[in-house]
Amino acid sequence: MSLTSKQYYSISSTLLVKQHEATRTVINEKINLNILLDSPLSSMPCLITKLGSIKNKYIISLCSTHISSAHSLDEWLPKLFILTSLHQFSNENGLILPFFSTAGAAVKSEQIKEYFTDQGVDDMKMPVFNYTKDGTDIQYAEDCSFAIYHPEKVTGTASPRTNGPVVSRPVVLSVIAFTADITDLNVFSSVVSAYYAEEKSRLLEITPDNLSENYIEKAMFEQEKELWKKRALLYQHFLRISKSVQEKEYYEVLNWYQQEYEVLPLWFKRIGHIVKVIMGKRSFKSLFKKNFKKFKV
Amino acid sequence: MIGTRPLYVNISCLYYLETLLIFAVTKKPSIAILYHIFYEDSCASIPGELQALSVYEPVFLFNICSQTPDKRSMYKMLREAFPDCIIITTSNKGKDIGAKLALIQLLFELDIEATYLLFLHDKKSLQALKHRTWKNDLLKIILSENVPTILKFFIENKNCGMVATREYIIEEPFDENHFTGINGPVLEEILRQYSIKPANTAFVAGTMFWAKADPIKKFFTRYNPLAIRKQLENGNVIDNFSGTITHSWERMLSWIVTGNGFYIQGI
Repeated sequence: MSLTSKQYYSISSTLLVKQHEATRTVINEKINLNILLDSPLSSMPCLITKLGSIKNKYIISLCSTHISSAHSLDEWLPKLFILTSLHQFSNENGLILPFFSTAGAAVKSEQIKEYFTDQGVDDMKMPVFNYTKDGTDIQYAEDCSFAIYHPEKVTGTASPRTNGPVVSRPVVLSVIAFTADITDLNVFSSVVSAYYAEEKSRLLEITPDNLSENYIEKAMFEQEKELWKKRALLYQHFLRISKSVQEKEYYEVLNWYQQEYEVLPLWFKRIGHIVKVIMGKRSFKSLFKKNFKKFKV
Repeated sequence: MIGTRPLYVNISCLYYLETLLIFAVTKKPSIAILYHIFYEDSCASIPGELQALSVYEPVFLFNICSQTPDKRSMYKMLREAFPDCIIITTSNKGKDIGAKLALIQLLFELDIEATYLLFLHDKKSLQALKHRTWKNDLLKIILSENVPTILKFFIENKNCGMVATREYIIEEPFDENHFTGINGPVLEEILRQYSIKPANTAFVAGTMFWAKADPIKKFFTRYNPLAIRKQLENGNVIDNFSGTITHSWERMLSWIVTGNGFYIQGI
């Protein structure tokens, strides 16, 4: 039995940035993207602008060859934080940052996790996958899966044939990469659409398509419910502390009034009343009224 | 007979003409608005609040707290009102100060060359006696009748580094070479660690102000905003009962500017 989670289709960040600058191509907004971070630091402004404006949900994945030294990781971490903070970044299941490692390369996942924890992100996962172009098996790590698909033909017109295996373990997120060298966003869109159409027909034999859709929507609903609950508790907390805070402020104002005004002798205050009459802030008749209300709310 | 409506329209036109005159004399200023949102009901009023600024074509950068419910409709509302805005979502760390530090980092990552920065947030301070008037008073700095005046302050006075509502420019208590307020010890430590030397102890309480971008950029290029944000307290911290790093950085945001020889103008 397969339980299909949200699928994210891999695309190079360099390609996104290049085509954004040249043609402003829009990818079908229903395609969830896995942005493989392989751009130089200098193209970050363009990548952030692009990701800040697209309607596609996306995740970011890292590759060990790109972030190889501690020095370069220090430069990347603030940018990574901003990339994962943009509003279309998909974090319904917490912050998941897939890491593609080549053989022998060190995975600096602890350093990255520590940085994000310091910034207040506690539920971070970094599933590590090995990327080899000829790979056919599905890899599983930290409730995520990664699979590579081999389209026979990658053109704008021909439908590629996929031959990937079916995900056989429950996962929250599936990352899919294509072995074909995709250098055009339009081709990317058509390859993904064709893959999804085939995958959907395969899934219908085993699991109804709308079951996985409802599962994803339910998770988001549960998350939203949790946020509302916490917000209600926060307002309750405000009400509780407002009593002590406002009480403190009230007595500060009252003490100030006592110190600055009430300590003055009565004859001095009465001169003040006469001054108020001269200034027009009080009527002459009110000086003789016993029940005169000095301050009307 | 002249009715009230035509008179209102004429006054609005005057402010607009004043703005055009400023642009005719000087180069159009590049403004970046850094706005933090915490409350779920704030988005409805933000487009109206920022309407007076649209003529300047500013860059809009928003941060929404990750704990805020109903973010999807907030994103939609903001994108409809400000199509080119960039929105980030960060955790509730350091309240609006932490969010503004994240927005400064975003500003740097986008490589935006701004002349002026405008820091705003949807303040409520529900625990305080004066919470209702606090926000309205602080937001005087984005009223249509005040914005041209604010820009003129900056243009005509080279040493004017910040503009804020006059009543909220307050002095941090200082006596015999020590800060005597509740945040005193934390303030002294931060000033020493980051080599900030304010000209005086005035700061903008409520952290909503216009500022020249240069001194802020200079400081945060040297000290990464996210590295500072890391130190701030989590959750809805208040300093009514004890000093906090978050509230100390509220002072620092003003002192970073005044420490470079600028002053704060009240409006």
